[in-house]
Amino acid sequence: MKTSRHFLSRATWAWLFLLALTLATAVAGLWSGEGPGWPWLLALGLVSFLKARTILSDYLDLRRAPDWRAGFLATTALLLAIVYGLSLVAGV
Amino acid sequence: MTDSDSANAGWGPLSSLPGNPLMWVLIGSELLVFGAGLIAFSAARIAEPAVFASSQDSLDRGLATLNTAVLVTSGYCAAQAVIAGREASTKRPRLWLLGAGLLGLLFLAIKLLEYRAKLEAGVGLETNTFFTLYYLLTGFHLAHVIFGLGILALVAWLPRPENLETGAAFWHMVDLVWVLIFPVIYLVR
Repeated sequence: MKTSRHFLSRATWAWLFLLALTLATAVAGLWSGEGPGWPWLLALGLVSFLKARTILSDYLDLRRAPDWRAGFLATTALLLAIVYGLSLVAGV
Repeated sequence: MTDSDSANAGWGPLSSLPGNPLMWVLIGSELLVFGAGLIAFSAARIAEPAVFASSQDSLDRGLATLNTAVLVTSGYCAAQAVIAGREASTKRPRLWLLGAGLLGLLFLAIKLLEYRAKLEAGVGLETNTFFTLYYLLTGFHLAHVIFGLGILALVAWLPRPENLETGAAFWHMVDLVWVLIFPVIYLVR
């Protein structure tokens, strides 16, 4: 029971964290105006990584498999680096 | 040790993963497939930055943000169903799965509203490169949402802990892919 309560708390925090990041990104997107450039891209990339890490660690429970967690996080980070790097090249 | 830990013995390096290891093979594959789609989308932006910027401005970012919140909340319900399933109950996991499924249906409805608005404005698959990739990426994701709803229904029918963990894992994969797609299509500019 104790373990369940701990996991319940972690899942709830994860959910609130994901909602907060989603809202913050949307508000920043409305506020940032035309051509926000590389700081905006960097922020979006970091927020995407944090969201992915939260889902992998807390929703998918990869905390129980740290090696796999590291592998999935590394793959996600590489993917985001390529995607946002290409956006930077596009002159976004 | 959880039920899935003992059930996964014999899967070699995959045995430490929570839920059915085959689901993790699927999750890894889907991440790579959608990743390739996002890379193609970002590469196409280099060739036509002005088309991508103007097309993106015509999307409803508020609706897409709302849909993101709906999907991560649905994922939360699925995570709670897994937890509830560890306590030898079938009613509570089913209720959480019902919540996850209803929110999944809401995501589907909002996405269809978005598509309808675009199609009524004459914006279709062949309008330009942005919208071709927009419909392909979001449509393929939506197909996974529909398939995931079916999986959630199956798991609600047989809410054993290993089924709950495996079904929820698919649903979280749908969630994971969306949080990667959403900023690239709607917010990168």
